[in-house]
Amino acid sequence: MNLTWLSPGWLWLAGVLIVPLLIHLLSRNAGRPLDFAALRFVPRTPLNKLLGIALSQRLLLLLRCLMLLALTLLLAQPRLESGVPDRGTAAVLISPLAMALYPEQALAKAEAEASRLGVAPRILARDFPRPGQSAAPGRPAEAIVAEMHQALGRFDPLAVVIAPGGADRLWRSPPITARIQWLELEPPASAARTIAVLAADDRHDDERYLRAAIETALSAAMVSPWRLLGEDSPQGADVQFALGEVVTDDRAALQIRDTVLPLDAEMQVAVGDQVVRQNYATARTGLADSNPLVLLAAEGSPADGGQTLASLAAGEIQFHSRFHPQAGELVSSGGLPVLVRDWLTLAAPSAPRWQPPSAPIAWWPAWVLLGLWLLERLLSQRAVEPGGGRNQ
Amino acid sequence: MQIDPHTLARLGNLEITGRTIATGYLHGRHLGQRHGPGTEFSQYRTWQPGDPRRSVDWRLFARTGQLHVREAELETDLRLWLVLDTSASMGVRTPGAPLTKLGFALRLAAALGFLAQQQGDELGLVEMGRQTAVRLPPAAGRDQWYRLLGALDSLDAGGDLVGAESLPLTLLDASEGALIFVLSDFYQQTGELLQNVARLALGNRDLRALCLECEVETRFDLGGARRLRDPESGEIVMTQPPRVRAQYLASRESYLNQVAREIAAAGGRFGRFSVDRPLDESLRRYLMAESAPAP
Repeated sequence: MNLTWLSPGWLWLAGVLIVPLLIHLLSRNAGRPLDFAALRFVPRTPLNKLLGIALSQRLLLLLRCLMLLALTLLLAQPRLESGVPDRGTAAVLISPLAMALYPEQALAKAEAEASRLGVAPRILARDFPRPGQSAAPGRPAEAIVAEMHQALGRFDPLAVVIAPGGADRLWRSPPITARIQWLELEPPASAARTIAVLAADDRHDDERYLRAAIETALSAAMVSPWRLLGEDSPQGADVQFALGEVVTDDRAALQIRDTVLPLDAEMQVAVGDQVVRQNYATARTGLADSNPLVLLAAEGSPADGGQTLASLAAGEIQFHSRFHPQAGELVSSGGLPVLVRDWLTLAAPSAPRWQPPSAPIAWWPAWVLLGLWLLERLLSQRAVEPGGGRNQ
Repeated sequence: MQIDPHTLARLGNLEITGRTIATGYLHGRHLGQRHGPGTEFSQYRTWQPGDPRRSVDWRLFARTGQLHVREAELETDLRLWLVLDTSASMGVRTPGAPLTKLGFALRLAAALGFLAQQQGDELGLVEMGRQTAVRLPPAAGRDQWYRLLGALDSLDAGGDLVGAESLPLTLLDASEGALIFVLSDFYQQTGELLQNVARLALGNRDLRALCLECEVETRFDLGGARRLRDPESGEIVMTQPPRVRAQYLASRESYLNQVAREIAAAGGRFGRFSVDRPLDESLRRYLMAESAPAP
């Protein structure tokens, strides 16, 4: 519930409340007895009537203050609103990471927010690819992402359910001008305190593709509160963050056979607004301690290497993402493109429009004002009317 | 010429204001000075048959060789008593008004005194307040007027009319036919003032009771609820003037009518002065009415 004002510019009028109070206080001062020589001819007023006068004076003051308050309310037009006071089309999104990590909580939160905003709960990424699904090649990913951003720009407000720790950098990108409300999930109590994010794939022959995978993995890791990738991975972990094909299942002999990028190559990765330099060769992670384990695999089917790595982890693998920069059929594929397609179609005419709260003039302060005024007139008439009292 | 009370209050000086007011009255009246036997030299006039010889100024005859009679301003045997009420109720004023009743009374007394002095009458002043006493024994002449101003200057309002009973005693020696001006608001705790003032008219004296009233008393248009304090008894009354106005006005009017009746019954005359009106205009109107032949 938000208290908002249609014309908050009139709120200064409430400051005028000080005027009747000042008048009252000053007239109390002026109420020092007046020397009056002909007092003997003034009829005496009984005590109970005097008390009545004092009471009605205070009542009149109260009424006049309330009248000013009602006038202020009438002009400023207060509104009690339950929704976000933005206008346009509302959309609720779930970040892939949140969906991957805690799908139930993410869906519940998204649905609750959708009903609060008054939009039909159209949950994107519900059919986010599960391991085993394939993504057909399509348009360049950059084009799709740009299109996606453009589509997102039509939504305002934009509620995004995010994984614990921060927003996906996709939603932090500048092209989205919508006001974004971040709905951060509470991590379930059962969740482990450690998360590992891996980027692995067998299509290592494409440098761009690997780079994208690495960048995505690293971004996800960086925005997570459990940034265990890299420097603070436990010492002695014998599983390396693999960039390339994993050649053996033997955990002890895990090697990277053919790296496109040398393991000690430094790479600039944009995470949100920051640019960090990472040496992936040193990015170690204690996979055994990681639960859940997020594996970002680049290609359609779960990468063998990724599978291999995942099997080494003691934790449960919750997510396999595919992100292939050269996938030509993204829009019709079952991977991340599903999410993009939904974004694009959300703005279709069938999509529910979020209506701003209707704002007819609230007349109740006027009626209150009228009532107070009548009461004030009546009372002040009674106060001065000759013979107005019963015992006159 | 009209002098409003604000101007009067600014002038402050009784001599100027008294003279100003009285001169305003005298202007155009062609009273002229009467000459005759007296102490104050006025003029020489050629001797005419019938004039007593001792009135001839022989020294002048020695110088000029002509017979001249030395004349003085005529002194009348009229004695004017000014009785001023200085009780606390005379110290009140209409809120915002420049003059208290006493302030008005002082100026009125100065003006009356000036008129009397101009006519050669004797002047005396009686204060009626905390105690009633003669403040200035009667005498004639210009100096007497200045003495009157000094005596008036020393008066201030306060206290009760405790000494009103001795008023007739104080003026016991007032000669028959004396003119007595009583300047008061005629508010009294008991009936003492009225009785004693009325008794002043006995013995063929000419009693003029001038009732001074503020507009706040005559109009009583105080809004809302007010606390009023009696300056004499100190009693404080909370009241709503708009409600009780009619009752108040009726009761005050009936009291003043009674005062007027009693004074008229004793042979005196009763007049009312609003202290918030121009003094000279009020005085002129009053004197005109007084000098008009009685119906």
